[in-house]
Amino acid sequence: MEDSLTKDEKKKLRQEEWKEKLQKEEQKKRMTKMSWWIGGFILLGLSVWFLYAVVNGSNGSTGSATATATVSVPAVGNDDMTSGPINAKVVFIEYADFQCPACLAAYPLIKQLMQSYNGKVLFVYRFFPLENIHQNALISAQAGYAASKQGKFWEMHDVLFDHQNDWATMSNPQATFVSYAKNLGLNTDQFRKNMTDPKTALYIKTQEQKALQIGLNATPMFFINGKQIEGAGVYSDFKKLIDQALMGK
Amino acid sequence: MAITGSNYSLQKALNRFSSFLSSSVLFTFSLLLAFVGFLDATYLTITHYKHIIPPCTVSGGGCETVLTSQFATIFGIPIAIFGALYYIALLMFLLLYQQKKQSQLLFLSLLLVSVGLFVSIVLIIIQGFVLHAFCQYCLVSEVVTFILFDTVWWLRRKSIVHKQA
Repeated sequence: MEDSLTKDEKKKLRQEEWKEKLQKEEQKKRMTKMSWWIGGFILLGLSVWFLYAVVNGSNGSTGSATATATVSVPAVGNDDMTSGPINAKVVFIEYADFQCPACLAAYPLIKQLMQSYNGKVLFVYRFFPLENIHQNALISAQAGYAASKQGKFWEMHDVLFDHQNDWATMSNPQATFVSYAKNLGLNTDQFRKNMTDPKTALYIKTQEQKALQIGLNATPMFFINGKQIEGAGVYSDFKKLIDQALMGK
Repeated sequence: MAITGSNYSLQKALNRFSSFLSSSVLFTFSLLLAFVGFLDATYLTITHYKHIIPPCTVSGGGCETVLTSQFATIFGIPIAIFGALYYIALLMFLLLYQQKKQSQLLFLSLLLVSVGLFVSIVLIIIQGFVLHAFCQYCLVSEVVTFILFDTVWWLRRKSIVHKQA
C-alpha cells in the first residue's frame, strides 16, 4: 500500500500521524489536569462531610447521650438554689459559671426544660465559678446568691446569662449587678450588702471546693438523679434522659 | 570586611538550604499545609453554626472565650469562613501554578499569604492582649499561615532564581 504512495504523500501521512499523536498527548495532559481539579474538589467535599459527621457525632445529637454514676454528687440541701418540688422523682443538677460561654449556650435548653417539666423535676443550680479563667465568675455568683436571699435567684440567673456579654469584660461589674437587682424589684441596699458579705463568698467557695473534690473540672456539668450526663448537646438528649428517669429506668 | 564575609557565608548557607529543599517538596508541603488550614477553619465554621462551644475548664485554655468573643464574627459572619475561603483560594492558586508555571500565580499566592500573615498576627495580639485567652484551633491556623508564608516565599524565590539561571 505504502509503496504506491509518492514521496510527498508519504511525508504528508507521517506529518498527519505526528499531529494526531501530539493532539492525543495534549488531550491526555488536559485530562490529567482535569482529574487534579476534580480530585481536589472531591477531596475538599469529602473532608467537609467528614468534619460535619465528626462534629455531629461528638455532640450527641445522634442520640448517644448517656447518664452514668461516675462521681458522687452531694445531696440537695436546704441552702441549695432550687426550683420545683423538693420531693420530685427526678433531680436535675447543673454545675455552672455565669461567665462561662458554654453555660450560656446551654442556658436556653435548661430554661426550656424548666418550663416543660415544671412541677415534675427539681432543678438545682450549683455555683462552680472558674475564677482563674473568668475574672467576674466569683462576683457574678455572689450576685446570684445575693438575689436568692430575696427569693429571686432564678430571675437573677436569667438576667446574668442574658447580659453575660455586657458584664463579662468589666473590671468591676458590681454597680451593673445592682442595677439588675433594681430592675428585678429587689431591695438594692440589702442586695449590695449580701453580695459583698464574706459569708456569701465563703458559701460559693465551699460549693466550688466540693465540685473540685468530686472531680469536676469543667462547666457546664449536668446530673440527673446523681448520674452524670455525657454527650448531651441538644434539647431532645436531655428530654430523653429525664423521661427515662421519670419512668423509673 | 567581616560583614561581607558573614553575608557571604549566610548566602552560601541559604543556597545550600535552598537546594536541599527541592521545589516539589516545598510545593507538596505548601499544599498539605493549606489543606490542614482549610480543615481547621472548616471545623470552626461548622461548630459555629451548630452552636457548639467547648466546655469551660478549670485548667483554662480559653477557647470558648475566644470563639464567643466579638472578634470571632464580623457582622454575624464567623471569621472562620473567611479563613476557609482563604485556604481554598490558596490551594487553587498553587494548583494553577503547578499546571501553568506562571510566576504571577506564585506572586498572587504570596500576596494572599501575606494578608493571611497580617490577619494572623492581629488575631494573636487580640488573643494575648485583649481577650487574655488563647484558642488552640485558632493557633493551629496561625502557625500554618506562618509556615506557609515561608514555604511560598521560598517557592517564589526558587522560581525566580530558576528563571534567571
